[in-house]
This record gives sequence, structure tokens and C-alpha cells, in this order.
Amino acid sequence: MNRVVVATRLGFREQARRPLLLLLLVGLPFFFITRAIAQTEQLPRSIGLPGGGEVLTNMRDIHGADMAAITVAFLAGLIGVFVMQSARQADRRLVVAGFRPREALAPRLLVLGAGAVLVVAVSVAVTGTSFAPNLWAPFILGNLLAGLIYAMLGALAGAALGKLGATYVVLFGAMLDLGIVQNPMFGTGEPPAWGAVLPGYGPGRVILDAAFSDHFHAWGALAISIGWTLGLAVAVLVLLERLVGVELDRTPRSRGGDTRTRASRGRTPRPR
Amino acid sequence: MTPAIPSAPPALATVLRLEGVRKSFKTGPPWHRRRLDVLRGASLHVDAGELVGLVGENGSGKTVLMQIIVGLLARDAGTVERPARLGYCPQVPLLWDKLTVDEHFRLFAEAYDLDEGAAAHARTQLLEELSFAKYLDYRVEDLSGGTRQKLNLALALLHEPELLLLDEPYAGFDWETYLRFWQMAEDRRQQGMAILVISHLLAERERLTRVYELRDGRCEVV
Amino acid sequence: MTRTAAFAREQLRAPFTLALLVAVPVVFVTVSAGVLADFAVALGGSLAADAASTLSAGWAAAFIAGTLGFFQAASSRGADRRLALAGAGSTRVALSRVSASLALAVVAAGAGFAALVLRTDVAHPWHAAAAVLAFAVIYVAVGIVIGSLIASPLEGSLAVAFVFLLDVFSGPGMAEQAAPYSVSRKPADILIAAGLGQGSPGEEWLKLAAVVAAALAVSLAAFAWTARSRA
Repeated sequence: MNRVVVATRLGFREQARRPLLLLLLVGLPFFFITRAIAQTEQLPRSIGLPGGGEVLTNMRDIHGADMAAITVAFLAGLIGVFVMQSARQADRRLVVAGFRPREALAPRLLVLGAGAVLVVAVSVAVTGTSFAPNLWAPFILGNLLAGLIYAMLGALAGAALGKLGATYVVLFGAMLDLGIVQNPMFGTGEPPAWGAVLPGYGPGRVILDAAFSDHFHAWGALAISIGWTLGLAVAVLVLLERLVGVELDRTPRSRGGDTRTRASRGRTPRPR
Repeated sequence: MTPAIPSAPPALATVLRLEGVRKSFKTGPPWHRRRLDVLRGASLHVDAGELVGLVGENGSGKTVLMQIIVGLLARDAGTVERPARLGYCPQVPLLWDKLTVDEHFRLFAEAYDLDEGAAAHARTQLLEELSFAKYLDYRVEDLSGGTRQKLNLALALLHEPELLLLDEPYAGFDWETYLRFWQMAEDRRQQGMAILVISHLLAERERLTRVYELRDGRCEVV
Repeated sequence: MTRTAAFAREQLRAPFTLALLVAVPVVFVTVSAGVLADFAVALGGSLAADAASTLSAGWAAAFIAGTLGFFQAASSRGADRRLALAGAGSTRVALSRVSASLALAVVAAGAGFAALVLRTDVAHPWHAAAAVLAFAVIYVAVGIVIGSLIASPLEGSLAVAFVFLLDVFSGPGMAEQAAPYSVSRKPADILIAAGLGQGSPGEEWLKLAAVVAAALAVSLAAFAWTARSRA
């Protein structure tokens, strides 16, 4: 456990030494959310809420409700892409040196999670200066789940694709999912039926309900969000463990005991 | 006349043994995949107290072989016997740019399960041996290539492993540091460490117990 | 040509990059085109549905080109300087890099434009094509400038995203009045006009040509600057 603590502390220190990153992670949501809300007209719009209700509100309030999630999703997604990419090679060396794969991954995932929390905190705080949701706790929770889901999607994209491909997938994915498909500013005021399969559906409905309902009804959407989060967490752990792991099983170190490792796995050579 | 290098007493036995290791890669676009056989039954061994060299042309598979020994690459066939406790100095320094030299030592001390006292002692000794103590609080991104390589090597030696694997370890070293490296290797060999040095060029043949050449995917003693 | 092709291949060798270069603009244009008019009205702009559709192709090309330009510049500095010193010269290296970025951006722009003409009836398709290409050229320059200043991929991608979003929210059709710092103002005007079935006067085309020429010059200068010898 001490290893994980030391590696985590150093992982945070590593990220804290990137002032431009911190500036962008705070400045971008501040600019984007403030500008978007201020620029939106107060045109009346009726939207459907989870639980079957409907509310008459206006475009500016809807934008206020969903801007944080859009911002959080693409920022957290990008963090996921690059935090994982930058760490893979060096982290494998730690595993060769003696860290177990999960011990090398845990600090990285904690840094990723903290990054997501930071962007959520800034985004929600900035939103709060222009728009106050009815229910703050589920509003924050919905945004946090959007951030974690997209951070992990970013990590998976970063592991599977190159930098360029992963950047496109995360950015356009977040904008299309939360910015268009789940956005009640467009269409009928509710996401289309097929929108429910997208990762932003659950958090989007939770956020909307928290923003405009007097009582929380989006339990189903919350369960979907938690399901996505847990499922992606498992996928991220499994995939990344494979990526940073080494091939030979280590014999646990015993005092004075034989610490040799013998491995004779291998496929039968192909006949020539 | 170069004194004969004493080989390890039979009782110490083999620290690293490879038998029949094979590795191939698939290359080319999906519609025209080709198989590239890099290792075709490579075998070698390194005993305790031996300093063994592995040479070969560029692209002969030396680094692939090293990565298989260390566990970074899976092999297709063959056996690898190695101790759980080894030191690995990769060809490309795999370091964290934003962390300092000191922080790297701390991280690897944790990885090697060294207690504070042992880690501090080892770190001080290595900083002195490789003459880079003044860079202790410098971030890796601010170091020259040669100093990064010193750190790279030092991290592999921090825990005084049974087996030391070095892949082109002196790239970027000045002449003095290069000579110091060979002295360090000799000192540790005499203490019983098994050392395998991979290089495309070995000018210090007389220091080595044995030299293997990797050719056509197999190791031959030269 | 060898250098340009090599630099372009370098970007495409990661898994699925080429497929994404084509698929992402197609998906974005197809999905977003229908809603952008509502979005523009909500932001106080005045964009008819057809005009909004054409704008989505421009934005897709812009963002793809911007990130392409950034990664070309950020990941190649040391190697490019070495190539220049080896005899290629900083100008030729810069030309090759910019050509490679543009070639890839054209692929993405072409995919977005193809999705656009399949989805909607664009009255002036060639005007729209030229404007989408101009979006790509301008954003290649944006990405290259950012890449010559910022090496880290995360910070650089965020910076490209920041410029892009600033541009989107300040540009024609989205804001009541397009801001002077909106880098894609000129191609956006032509694209909106093409979507509305209107041509653009010669003066607008001259301004567009000037902006594109400036973007190319900036791109070349940025690459040449990073590849230059310090002797």
C-alpha cells in the first residue's frame, strides 16, 4: 500500500507541475460556460423530464443546466486520453521493477479521477453564477458521473487508438452525445429513443431532472449512469492491466527462499 | 596481458537461462500481412559473477530478446529462467519528465521494496559513482541526454540485483563516465552479480566473460 | 513529395486514424446539421436550417485540421530540425509539413463536404467546397502555431479546442454580430451564403483568398522557425 501512496503523491506532483494545463482546465470551462449561457436568448421552451413530467422553461436556463456536462465530458475525456498515453511506457518499467500492475495503475487512475473532479468543480461553480438548479446534490452527482464516464472512455480511446484518433473520438463524441443528442434545446425536448444507448444519456437525464424538478425522479437514469461508470471502470482496469503487465509471473519474494522464476509458456512452433 | 577473468564457482549456478526462444511479428497492412521472424530459437546463459555481452547488427533482435527476458514482450516459444529480482536499464530511458532525479529514486526504492536506510545508502553511492549528485533536485525534462542515461542506469542498480540487464547503457556518456561504467560493472561482477550487456558495438571485449552474437535469430558464442 | 508523403503517413499509422478522419466529419455533419439552426437562434444568431447544415461541414473540417496541424508541429520538432540540418533546409521541411497537414485536412474536409451534399441540397456546392477547404487551411495554421508553442499533447489539444470554441461562439450565424477575432469569419460567411442559395461577391472571395494566403504563410513560418538552425 505504501508504494501506491508514494506513486500517487508523485503522480499528483507530476500533474501539478504543468501550469498551462491547470490554467486551461480552469479557464476553458470558465470561458465556455459563461459565454454560452450569456449568449443564449431566453426563448421559451417546453421540455420533458424523467418521470413523465414537463416543464416550461427557456433556452438560457436549459443551456445553463447542460453546459457543465458538455464541458466536463470533453475535458475529462481529453485528460483520460493523455494521462494514460503518457504514463504507459514508464509505468511498465515500474512493473518490471516490482510494482504489481494494479499498484502502477491505481495512482494513474486516481490522478485521472481527481482531474475529472476538478473540472466538475470548476464547471459547476461557474454554472452556479448564472443558473441555479433546483436540486444541487443530484446536479453535481450527474456532472461527476458524466466526467468519470468520459474520462474512462478517453482512457480506453487513448489505449486503443493513436493520439489523433482518440482526440477526435472523445471531442466529437462528447459534443454529439451531450451537446446534441441528449440536449433538450433541440428536437422535441427529449432525447430520441436511440439516444438511450449513448453514455451521456444517464447523466444527462439526472442533470436535467435535478435542474428543473422539485423532487428527484431520475432513479433509472442514475442507475444507468452508475452502471456505465462501473462497467467502464472494469474495462479500463482489465485493459490497462494487460497493457502495463509483464509476461512472466513473479514468484513472491520469500526471505532466503528460491526466488527464481521459470516460465515455459509458449505456443508450439509452427512447422516449416 | 589481460588477467583471465575468473568464472563463477560451479556452486553458484546459472542466474539467467534462455532455451529456444522464438519470436515473430506480423507486419504490413491487413490485406497483405507478412511474418517477420526475429528470434528463431535463441539460447544463452549467464552465471553469477559473469559479465556477458550480446552483440548483433542493427535490427538483429537484441532489444526484442531483452524485452522478452524482462517480460515486456511475450515470446512465441522457448523457456526463460531468471530471478524475480533483476535490474533493467532500457535503451530508451523510460522516465517521467516532470519528476526530479530524487523522486525517481524514491519511486523505484518503493518498487524494489527497499527500506529507507538501504535506499538512501544506495542512492548516495550511485550518485557518487556516476557523478551526478548535483542534479538530485532537477526535473528529468531539464537534464541532458547523458545525465538522463546516468539516472536510467542508476535506477537499474539501486537494489543491487542478482541479474543486471543493460541495453546500450552508455549511449550519451562522456569518456570519463564510460570508463566509470565499466569499472562499476567489473566491481559488481566481482561481487557475484550476473550482468548481460547488449550493444551493437563492444569495444571492451577483454572485460567480458563471454560474448554472444545474435545472428539469424540465434545466439552463437564468438 | 517523398517528405510530404512520409509526414502524412506518420500521422496515419496509429490504428484507425484514417478511418476516423473520414468517419468523424461524416457523423458530425449528419447528426448536427439538423439542429444547428435551432442552436443559432438560441444564441441570438440568425441561421436558416440549410445555412446551418453547411456550417457544420466547415466546423468539422476546422477541428480536424486544427488538431492535425497541432500534432504535426508538436511531435516533430527535434526530428524536423535534424532533417533541416542534414541538408533538407528549414524551408523545404516546412513546405513538406504544411503540405502533409493540408493533404490530410483535405481528406477530412472532403468527407464532411460529401456528407453535406448527400444530406442537403446546397445551391452553390463549389462555393461551399472552397469555403470548407478554407476552414481547413485556416485551422491547420492555428494548430501549427499552437504546436510550435506548446509541446504537450494535452495542453495543446485543449488550446486548439479553446480557439475552436471561441470561434464557433463568436462566428457568423451563431452570434448576433461576428467578432473581429473569429478566425473563420470569412469562410463562414461564404458557407452560409452558399447554404442560403446565394453567391458571394468578388470582394468576399478576395478577402477569403487573403485570409487563406495569410494562414499558409503563418503555417510555413511557424514550421520554418521550429526547424531552423541555431548556428
